[in-house]
Amino acid sequence: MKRIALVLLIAVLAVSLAGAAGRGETGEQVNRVTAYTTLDEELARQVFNAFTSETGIQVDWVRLSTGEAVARMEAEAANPQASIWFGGVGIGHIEAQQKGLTRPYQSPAATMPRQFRDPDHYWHGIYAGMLAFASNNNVMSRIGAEPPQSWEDLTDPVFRNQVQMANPGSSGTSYNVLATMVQLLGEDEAFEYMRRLDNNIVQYTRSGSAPGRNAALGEVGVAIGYSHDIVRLISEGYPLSINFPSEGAGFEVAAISLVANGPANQAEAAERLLDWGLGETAASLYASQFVVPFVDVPLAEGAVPISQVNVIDQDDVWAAAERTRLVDKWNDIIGENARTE
Amino acid sequence: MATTAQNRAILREPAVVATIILMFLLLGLFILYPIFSVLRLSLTQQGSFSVDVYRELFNRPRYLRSITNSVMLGTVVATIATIVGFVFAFAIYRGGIKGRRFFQTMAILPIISPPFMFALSVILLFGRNGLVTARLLGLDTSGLYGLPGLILVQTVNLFPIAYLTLSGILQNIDPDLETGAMNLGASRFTVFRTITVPLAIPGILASWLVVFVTSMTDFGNPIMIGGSFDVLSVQAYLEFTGMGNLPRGAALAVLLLIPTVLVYFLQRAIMKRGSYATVTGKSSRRGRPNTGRGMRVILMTFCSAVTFLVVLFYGTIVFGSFVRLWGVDWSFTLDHFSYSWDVGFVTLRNTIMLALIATPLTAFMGLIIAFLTIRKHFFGRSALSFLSLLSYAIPGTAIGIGYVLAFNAAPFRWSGTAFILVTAYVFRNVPIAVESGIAALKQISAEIEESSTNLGANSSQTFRQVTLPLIKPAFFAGATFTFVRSMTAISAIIFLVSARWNHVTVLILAQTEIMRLGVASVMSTILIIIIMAFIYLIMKATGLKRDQIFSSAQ
Repeated sequence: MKRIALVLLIAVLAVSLAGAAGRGETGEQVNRVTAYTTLDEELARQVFNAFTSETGIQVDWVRLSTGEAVARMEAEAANPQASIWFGGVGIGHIEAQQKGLTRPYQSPAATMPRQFRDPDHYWHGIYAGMLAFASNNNVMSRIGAEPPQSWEDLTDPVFRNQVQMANPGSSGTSYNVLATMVQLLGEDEAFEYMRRLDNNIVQYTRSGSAPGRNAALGEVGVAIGYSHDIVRLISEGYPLSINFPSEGAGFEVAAISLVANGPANQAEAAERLLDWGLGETAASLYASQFVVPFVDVPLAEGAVPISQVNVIDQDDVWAAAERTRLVDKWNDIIGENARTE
Repeated sequence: MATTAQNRAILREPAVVATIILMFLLLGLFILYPIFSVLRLSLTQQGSFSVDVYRELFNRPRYLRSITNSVMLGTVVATIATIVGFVFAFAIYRGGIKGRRFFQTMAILPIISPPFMFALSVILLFGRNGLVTARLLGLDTSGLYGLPGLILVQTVNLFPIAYLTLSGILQNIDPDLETGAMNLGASRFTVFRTITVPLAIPGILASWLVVFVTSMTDFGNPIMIGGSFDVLSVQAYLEFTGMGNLPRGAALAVLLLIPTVLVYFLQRAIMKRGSYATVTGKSSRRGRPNTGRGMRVILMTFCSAVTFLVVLFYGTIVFGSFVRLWGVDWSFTLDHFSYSWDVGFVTLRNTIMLALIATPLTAFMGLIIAFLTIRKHFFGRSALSFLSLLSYAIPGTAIGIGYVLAFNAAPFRWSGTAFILVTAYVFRNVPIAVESGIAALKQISAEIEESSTNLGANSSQTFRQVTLPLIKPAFFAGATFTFVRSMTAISAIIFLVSARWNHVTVLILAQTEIMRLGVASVMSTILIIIIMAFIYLIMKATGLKRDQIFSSAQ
């Protein structure tokens, strides 16, 4: 009898676990929201903790890179697990929209300039960040080079095995670089450029923020990343210099989107989180991490507003639509001999 | 093969029949169906059968290189780890070195660490900012990223597998045989060459194959320090979750799956056929050490060197937990602990909880299957044992991708739940519980159980009151290993974690990637402490010896 009881126990456990996990489809709203976030882990922690203490809504979150977040939402499209994708490069948000993975929501808190939000209310920009170079001063003096000032400088043989960027397949930051070069130089020359750049690349990382940290630690000489990440590292005391490419920098519009067909009982909580994420409290938290939010809040010292940088006239809708093709091409031409750490 | 009469006899016990059917259903659903899903996705294009995905893979040097890299890594590591394991086992059980018990402990210690822990150590010691490379030697290297680093960490990680297999075999060689040969005038080396090695050959082969498979399917180490050295498990992960190319990820997982399944069953066949037990009546069982003085010094030095490496790797992790910024600012801090607590506490608690749920379930299920396959005669018995052992041969990467594909749509909507993690733990580890159950049951004469039945007990009474107490050690050994392997799992789990149910190893990996090495060290240290405490508690509570628990680790 005990064995039957055991079998029953297993069955009951299985069913109850499955049941407990099954999401309430009844529409009864819960004080809980599941989020994928592409914010830096530390910022994500501050932002979601502040939201929880202000509203009492619990946030379950996991950090994914832009590429990972889109892949994850796509894989889960039949049964989405998350309600909201918080942060991450705008191109990725547009791609998710084009793939039908996100849903429109007209937020009362959407006060950002028109070019930083979707006219159809799918994605909502929170801040802009420009591509920049982080050069480690110690490494520069050791190899006897000046920090690179332009995209062209990066391919100088003096930086051989000293440059790091992320893999454009998994990192939104890095796809931003690829898309920038195609828009600056035209496709053929852009890939010619990426090939020349590859000679100097020591390793392609998975996440867009890893190269900046590696440059800070002196693991590499130069990293391509977003300005706010670099400014933050400089303020933490790392021996870095920041330079913007003179030919023109691409930029990201970090954004928030709601996931299409996300857990029904979290819909309200997710919308509240989105509204809150566009508001002033959240903006000051972003600003504390050296980004320049679209909401007018005091900026951290050293933060660089987009108006002070020579940025390219960038077409994110085009970039999102072309991502698969360009990344595949990059993989074929450069990735054949390249590596992802 | 069960006869018709035996088949009919089983029908008189409906509870047994129900259990058999349930086991088949569970194994089918949680092992076969996910693998089928992976195969199906990799062989489908626009709804119809196609091998295009594979054609594309084989046309791109990048993927071909990750295949050859995986095989090469497996071959090198299997060879070195088997040699190290053999020398260790020989030194301890035949070499007569001093400090046997200490070395025995050291040789199994790496088994209980998270698979990528040594990779983290290597980054700290030999990375671009490594303590040894940059600080002590002042080198400007790209570190040990890539093949050399992988060989180093996997060898340290996996030689215990070879050691455990081979120490079992060496203990079974009758020392009188060697003593006899020496009395007849053979030199020590001749004895070693003509008796010890030939008798150990099946064990050596089997160890080599198991280490080969484990190295090939390893995910944690290559993703941390693989650098430019692409391997299949990491490629499959990057394609599947990084690039969102699901069919290509699935196909890479299949390419990993085929050799591992083949090699696993080859290894089982060798072990079954080649058990050269040297049973020769009563023997003294305590021969003289088969080594001269010089040899003993060499063995001792070798074992000490490997032990030093193991201790160094553990020590580095503990040390790293207290260093503010490795490579830049060496001052002492406790900040990493408070940060880890903040970021990781809920995840750690959930990880422990889910592992604790999976542990008894796995151990019970393993015992039930072992009991059915050893003691009961029914149609499909060998199929049941085959199925239950199969998942050991399946790479975690394939299981992870399979679970994502199989359990994300009606009727099995389980992705993102705790349930899917628990099932992954249970079915990844059930082979260990089955194996130790089978080994234990084989040593218990069926007659004991028969007498119980003759005295009027039914199957479940016999199982409960006679069999269960006798196989208690097997049960707890299976349980312990399920716990350890669940806590340290990563290759399958990384596909299945969600915002609500994360796993501590995935968190450690993320910390390593953003170079927050102090936090990664803290989390690894805590993980190891928890595992050690658990093993200690099991040993205390059950009175089992360490060797009884670890015998099922092979």
